[in-house]
Amino acid sequence: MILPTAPSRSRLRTGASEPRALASGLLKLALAALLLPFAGAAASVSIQLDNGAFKVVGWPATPEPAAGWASIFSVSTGPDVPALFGSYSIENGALTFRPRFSLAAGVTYHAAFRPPGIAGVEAVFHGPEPVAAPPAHVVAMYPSAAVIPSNQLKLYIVFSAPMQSGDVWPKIHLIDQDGKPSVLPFVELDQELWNRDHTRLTLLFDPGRIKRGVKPNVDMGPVLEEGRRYTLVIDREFKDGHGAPLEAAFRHEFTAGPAERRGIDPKNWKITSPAAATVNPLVIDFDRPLDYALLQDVFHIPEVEGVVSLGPGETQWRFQPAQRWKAAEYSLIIDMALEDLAGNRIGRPFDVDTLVSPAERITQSTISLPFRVK
Amino acid sequence: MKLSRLLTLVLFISMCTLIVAAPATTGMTMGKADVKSAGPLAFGPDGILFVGDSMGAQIVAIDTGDTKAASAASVNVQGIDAKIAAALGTTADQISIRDLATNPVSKNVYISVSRGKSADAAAVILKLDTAGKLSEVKLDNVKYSAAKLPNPTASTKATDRTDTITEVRYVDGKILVAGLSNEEFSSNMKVIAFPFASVDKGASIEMYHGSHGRFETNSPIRTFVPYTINNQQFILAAYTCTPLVKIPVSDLKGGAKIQGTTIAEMGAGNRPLDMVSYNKDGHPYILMANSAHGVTKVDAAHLESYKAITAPTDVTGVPFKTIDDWKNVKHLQAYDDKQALVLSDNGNSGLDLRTVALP
Repeated sequence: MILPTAPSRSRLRTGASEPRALASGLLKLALAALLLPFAGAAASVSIQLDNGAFKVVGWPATPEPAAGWASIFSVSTGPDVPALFGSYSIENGALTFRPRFSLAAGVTYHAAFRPPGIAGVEAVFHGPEPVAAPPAHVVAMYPSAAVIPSNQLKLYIVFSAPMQSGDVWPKIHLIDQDGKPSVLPFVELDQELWNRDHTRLTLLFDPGRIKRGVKPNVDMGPVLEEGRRYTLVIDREFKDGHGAPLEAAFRHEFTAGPAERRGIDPKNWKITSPAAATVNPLVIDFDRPLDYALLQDVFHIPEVEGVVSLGPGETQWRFQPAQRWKAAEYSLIIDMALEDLAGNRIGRPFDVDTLVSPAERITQSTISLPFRVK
Repeated sequence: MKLSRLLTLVLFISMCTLIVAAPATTGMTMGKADVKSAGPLAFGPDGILFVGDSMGAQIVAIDTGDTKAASAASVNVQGIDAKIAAALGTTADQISIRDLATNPVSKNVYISVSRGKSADAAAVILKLDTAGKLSEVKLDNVKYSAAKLPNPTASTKATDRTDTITEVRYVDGKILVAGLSNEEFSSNMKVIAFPFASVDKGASIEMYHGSHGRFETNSPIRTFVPYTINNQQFILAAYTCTPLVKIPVSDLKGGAKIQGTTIAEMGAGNRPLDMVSYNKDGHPYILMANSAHGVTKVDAAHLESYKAITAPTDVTGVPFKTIDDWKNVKHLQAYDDKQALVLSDNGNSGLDLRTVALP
C-alpha cells in the first residue's frame, strides 16, 4: 500500500517546499496542496512535482538500494495497481522520478517516499486541467447525394476536429423511415477506419449483406432497401480528441435508390478540356457518383500541379492548374483503385456474376485517358 | 575421394549450413524502433516479435532476447486494463489493448497497447512475465528491423489514406499480413520474406471471395491462422464478410490472385476476431472467437476432404459448435498445448486476461 491508512497529522506546507500549480512548460499541473507525512517524518523532506518530474527534496540521496529506487520511491494512480513506469535519477542532489508518459488530465497521482531508517512522506498531485477547445461537430457525410445505391458500400463521416478512436460503434446508428434501428449495418471493426489525424471515419456496410448469395445476405437481407428512407445518426456523446462531446448530435437523411452493379467505364465520362493559355479547370462529369475519398487522389496529370475539387454529389471532378495550360496533348492517369459508391471498379463490378459475365480480374494498376488542350 | 571433390563437398556442406543457420536477427540493427502504432503481434523464431504498425505502414521485427524456456505456467490477471492504464499513468478508458501474443518458448505474454485514443496516442508494447509482473518492452534502443508496406495507391498524395493491419503471422520464413483500407474495399494480402531484405517491400496478393461458385468479389481477409493439412501448409482465413476459407501457403506469391475455398459459413451479423489451432486427444480443432457468436470450436479433421460450399444453405461445411461458457471474449491466442490465452470483458467495466483449458 502506498497511502497511510491513518496519517498521524497532515498540514498545508508553505515556503520553498510548498506544492504548487506549475504553469510552465507543456504540463500545467495543478498540485494538490496536501502532503501527508508519516509519523515522525523529517519536516524538511518533501515531494515536489517539477515540470512533470517527481522529486524528493530535502533528502540527501544515498546510494541506490539493492532493490532499486522503486523500492523506496514510487508514484501510482491508486491502491492495488502497478506503479507508473518511468526512470529514476539523481538531479541536483534530489532523487527524481520521471514518468514514462506525460501526466493525464483528470488523474490523481499518489507519490510515496519510504527511505530505510526514517519515516517517509506521501503527496497527492493532480494531472493537468483538460484542454479547453470549441466543441467539435460533424462537417459532412459522404456520399452527399440525397439518393444513394441500395448496395452502397461505404460512408465517410468528416469531423471539424480530431476525434477519439475506440468505442465509436454504440454512438452510430442507422434508423429507417419507421424509426427502427438497423441491426449491425456496419462492420464493427475494433480497429476503426480513421484517417491519420482522426478527422474522417469510414463506415463499411457489412459486405456480407451486400454480396449476392452470401449467407448473411440470405439470412438478414440487405441493410438498405430500395425506395426506403434512412437517417444516419451520430450521438452527441461521440468524443473529440480531448474527450469532450460533440456540439450537437448529427443526423443525415438519404434514400436508397436502385443497386449499382455495373463496372465503371470512363468512356461514359464527359471531359471538358480547358483552353490553352488559361488556368481554367479541367472538368470531368461522371455518369454516376464516385467515391468521395478516392476521388481526392486517384487522378494524376504528369508534370501538371493543381488543386482538385468535387462537384455536387461527387459526380464531377475539377482540376485547377497552378500554371497556364499549354496547347498540347495531355494524359489523365487513373489509379485503378477508383470505386463508385457500391465498390464497382473500372472494368470490374463489385461482385462479378461469373456465370453471366466472366470478367477479367484487374491486372493493371493505372490506365491513361488522353485529352487535348487547344 | 579426390581432394578437390572432398573440398567441394566440404564447401557444399558449409554453404548448406550457412543457409540453414542464418539467424533470425540477420539484418537487424540496434537503435530506436520507430513504431507509430502497435497493433497485431506475432512471434517468430528465436524470440523475434513482429509488430503490425498501421500508422507507420510497416512490420517491425524486434529481438526481445526472451528465449529462456519456461516450464508449465498460467495467467490470471483480473482487471488487466486498469493495471496497464495505471502503469502508463492514465485511466482504463484511455487505453486500448490491441493484441496479445505468447512467446512460445518463455510463455511470457506480450501485449500491444495504445496509450490515449486521439491521433497522437502512444504505441506501447508490454511484457507480462510468468510471475505476473508487467514491464515495458523498450523500443528506443533495441535490436530490430522493419519492412515498409507498399504504397497502397499509385498516388503519393494520399494523406488521408490508411491501411489498417488486422492480422500478422509468421509462417515458414514469411510474414503474412492481412489488412483493410479506409478508402478502397479490395485490399491485398502482403507476404514478406523474413529476415527482411533491405529493400523488400513485400509482394501483394489479391484475395478473392468466391460465393457459391457464382459471384466473385475482391475481398479483404480479416484474420487467419496457419494450419497444416497432410503436411501441406495452409492458412485458414476469415473474410470480413465471415466465411471461413482455406488457402495453401504455397499459393501466396507476389502478384498472385487467389480465391479461398469456403469450408464454413459462420452466419450473419458476426465478425471473426481471432483463431487458434490445436490438438486435443489426437484430434485437430480450430477455436474461433467471434463478435456475435461467442467462441466456436471447429472440427479440423480431414479438412482436405471438404468440398467448397456451393450454396448458402449447404450443410456440407466443416462442423462447428459454440462453446457456451466462454463469454465476451475480445482476444483469443495460443498459449500452450493445453491452454488458450483469453482476454475477456468481465462484465464489470474491466478486462480479465487468463489462460483457459482448451475445450
